[in-house]
Amino acid sequence: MMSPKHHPDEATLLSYAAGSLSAGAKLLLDCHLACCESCQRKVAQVEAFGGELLQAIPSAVMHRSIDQLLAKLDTPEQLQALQDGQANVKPHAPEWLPEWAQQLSPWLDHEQKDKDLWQRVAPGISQIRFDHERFAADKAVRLLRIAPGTCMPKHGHSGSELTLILQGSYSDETGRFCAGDVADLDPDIKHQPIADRDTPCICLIVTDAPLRFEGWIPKLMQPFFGL
Amino acid sequence: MDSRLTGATQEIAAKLPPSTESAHWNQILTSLGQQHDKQQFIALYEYFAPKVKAYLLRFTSVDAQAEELAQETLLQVWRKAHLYDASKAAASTWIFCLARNIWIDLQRSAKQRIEQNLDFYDDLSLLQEQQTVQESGGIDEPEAANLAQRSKQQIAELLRGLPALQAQLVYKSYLEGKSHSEIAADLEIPIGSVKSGLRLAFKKLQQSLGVSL
Repeated sequence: MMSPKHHPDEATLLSYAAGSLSAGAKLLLDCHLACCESCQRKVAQVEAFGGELLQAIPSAVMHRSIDQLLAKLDTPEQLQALQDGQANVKPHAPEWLPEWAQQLSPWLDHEQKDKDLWQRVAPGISQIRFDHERFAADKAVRLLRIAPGTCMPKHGHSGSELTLILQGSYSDETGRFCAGDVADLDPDIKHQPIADRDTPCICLIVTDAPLRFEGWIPKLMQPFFGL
Repeated sequence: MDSRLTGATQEIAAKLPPSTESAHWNQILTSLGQQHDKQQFIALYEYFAPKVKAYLLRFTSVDAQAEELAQETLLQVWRKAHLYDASKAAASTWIFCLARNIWIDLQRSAKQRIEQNLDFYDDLSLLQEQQTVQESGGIDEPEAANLAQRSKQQIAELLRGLPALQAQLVYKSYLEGKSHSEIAADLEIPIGSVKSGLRLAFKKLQQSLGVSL
């Protein structure tokens, strides 16, 4: 397994364990957790608190009989078939999508060619927006592809922003971010990411409030980001 | 099915100290994954389904929906028991995660969350819990009230190690399903304060629970 260097905030890990993250943030965390053992351990620790709560919670009364459910239980043979079936599912995904981020695959339109999926928003920057109603609670869930060496406009946030690097890398005031790394930014942080030079940087970005760009030229770009 | 047998299992489990009780269910779930034994499933169902339903009733006010999802959760227990690893999580934790995920998946197609202004300082929730149990009948009232009271104390006990604000943040995350920005709006505090409070709570929960893992 890889060992990412930048991780989600522990407050974000706790909310993941509690089941209270927005759908977009959860999707991003699912991908990071698939490649980060240290966050898996932390999540397991706070999930254990969920288990304790479940045991402490007052039992509700079940009105239906268990018999209906017992009749639905799969036989051992059916269970085996179920397991075999799951093992054979191979998701079809674009080559830039790493193995650990396959959970993003269902949200990509596989009917379209890869180059048509990406929508150009500014010189050197293109995006794929996830507009499904599932992400209604997020302000925006999107993939951004940034050409090598491209400098993003300096921006702050009125809400939180989560970024997961899928390919390539970028650097900003807070460090260098490579594949698997997560930048979990508080609202008060302003930053100016620059894609590193070797390969395009592809990242998943989930925001829960509109980005605020500084200066009038970047403000002109705001509509292009669709925020 | 012999319900007296499983009722007895539950009674024994209830009398065990918490750690032994927890080990008991870990063992049953492990063995269910290997043998697919219906009696063991029934024992798990009788203990966990009413708890899962109670957990889901925090998010939906529709009793029938909570019950259906609790049954769905237990069906997943049957199907996935072979994936359970007692060295990684307690049975209650594993089942909590299944219930949580089922609720998250459902919620995605429609925003079904109901507005909840209850918090655990409020006795209203205790009152409602007692009423739910009483209305349904069939259970000895003092015993049911006692159970509700005891459980509420246990939830409070779990949160007791935390300062008031952190306890409230944790409660809102786990039992009201609220995101950082929703909590910030609820409590009228900056989102940064929600995050820093939850970060501190994480450390405390890690200290109190993490040692056993």
